[in-house]
Amino acid sequence: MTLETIQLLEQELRATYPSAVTALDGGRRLVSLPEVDFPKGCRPSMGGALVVLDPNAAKPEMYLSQVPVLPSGGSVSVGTVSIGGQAWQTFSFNVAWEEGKHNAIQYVEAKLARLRREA
Amino acid sequence: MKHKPPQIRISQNCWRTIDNELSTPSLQHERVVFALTSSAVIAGRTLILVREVIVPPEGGFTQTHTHGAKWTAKYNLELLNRCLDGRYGLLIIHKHGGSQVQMSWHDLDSAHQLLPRFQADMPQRAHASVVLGHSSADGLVWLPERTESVRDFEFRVLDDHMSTLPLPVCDAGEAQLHAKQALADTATARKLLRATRIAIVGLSGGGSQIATQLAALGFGELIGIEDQRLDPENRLSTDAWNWLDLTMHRKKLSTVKRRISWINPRCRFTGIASRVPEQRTIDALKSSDIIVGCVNNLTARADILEIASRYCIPYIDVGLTIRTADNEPEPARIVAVSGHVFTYVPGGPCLWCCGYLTKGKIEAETGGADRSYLWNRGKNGSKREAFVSPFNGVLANQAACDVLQLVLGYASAGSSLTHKMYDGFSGTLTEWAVSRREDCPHCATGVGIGDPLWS
Repeated sequence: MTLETIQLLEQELRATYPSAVTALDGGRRLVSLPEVDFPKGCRPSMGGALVVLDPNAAKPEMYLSQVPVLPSGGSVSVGTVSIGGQAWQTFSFNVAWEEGKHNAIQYVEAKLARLRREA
Repeated sequence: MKHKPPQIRISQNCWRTIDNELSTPSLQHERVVFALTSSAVIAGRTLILVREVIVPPEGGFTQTHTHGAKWTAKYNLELLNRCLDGRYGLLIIHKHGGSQVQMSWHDLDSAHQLLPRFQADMPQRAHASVVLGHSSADGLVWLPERTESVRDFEFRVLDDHMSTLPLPVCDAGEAQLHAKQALADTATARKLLRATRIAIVGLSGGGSQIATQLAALGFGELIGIEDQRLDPENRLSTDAWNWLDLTMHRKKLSTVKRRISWINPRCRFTGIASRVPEQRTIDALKSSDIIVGCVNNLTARADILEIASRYCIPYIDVGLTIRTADNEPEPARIVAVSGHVFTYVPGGPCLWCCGYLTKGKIEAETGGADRSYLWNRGKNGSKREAFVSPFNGVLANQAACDVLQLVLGYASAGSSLTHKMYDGFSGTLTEWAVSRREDCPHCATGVGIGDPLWS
């Protein structure tokens, strides 16, 4: 992603999530979203998320402070990664996102949509 | 809880620039260097981490009637802009002759005039002015979001060894003996070892033997990070547990803890039953002075290296592999018993620089490496344990030597710690030359980042 795209995505996230905070972390831009709403029926219903905007990556990446239990009561396979000196959880789901065509909110919503489906 | 003063940490490459510049004599004025710093708060202690060193140009100074150095208002503005652009703190460093140094009235006055202004513009970061002597440091530190400066701080340099000022208080004779013979059992050496906290990730064949070695040497605190229980297949990997431990499937943590309490009751052992990179592991790694990693996969190594680098913590990576011939029917012959001890000093060459870690290798490693040393890949593939305890022991002993070198600095200056390769057939450890790669993506951006500065 270009630096211009990263700046644009950051602005979009800040506009949609007013409590968002950002930090530059070794060339990457981190956007922390203290409260994102998970799909209806997930437990808990909301939680913290981190969006990583890396100039060396083709699209954003999103991590959760805790991946919720799915509406069905099942769970997705969760991995743990270290970002910015903190542990974050991730789950595998390929979001078809294209730079210049899609925006940051579409990415976040598409990623979270995985949690609507059965395990 | 014991008060821990803020600590300034300087990576190897930054220190070499600073030392080189401050050691170059000048007739015009005192030598001064500036550094841009990040910061982190770990268990209540503020770390000030040097990210970049700025050697001021001669044109940045004005003439003074004293021996000190004075730089122009224009240069101050340039420094301030650099701090604001990167959201950094400012560290001013200069040197005085002699072993016990103090800030002069001129140093104090200029720090009080300049640094509060930097703090007003960049209040989330620490700003400091430090004078270094041969074996002491003095200075003033303005901590983030605090208006008063503090004079109580530690100054840690990571180079051929890890030296931290102020040195432990000992009588002159003991200090002099330590300076000449760092391996001698002196009060200074004992205090340095007791003050050091070491995290050991993985307490199997290698880690368990390193833990017992370090306890015997008198290190004050060990943190063991391991979530597995013993099973009979661990029997041949170390001498750290007994048949009852194996039969009862005891936790590796509790087995090692018991061994350590027998070896050295004064060594505090904290067990963390979690994996890399779970939060408890990250917190334990951050709080340590040295990390020793005995893990069996590259992803975990990359995660540990990232934390070590981010908070300027030396990291010793240990690994052992038994290789069998690729082109032979199973069971194939053993063609190599190889291992390594890689000591990463932040600011020096890393596991990415030498190609031990690559993106491709990490991507190829799915689901973690197999834990068994020997694996028959034939039709009726089966795992076989191998007699690896003595090979693990050689590597564990070398890792303990590297820890000792980091803390006591017993080897002559310029000795390389970095990469030792082990050949179990010939019984040799060979030092490999590794250089810091200027284009290493990890080294270029990852050293001394500290905590993210949110806004």
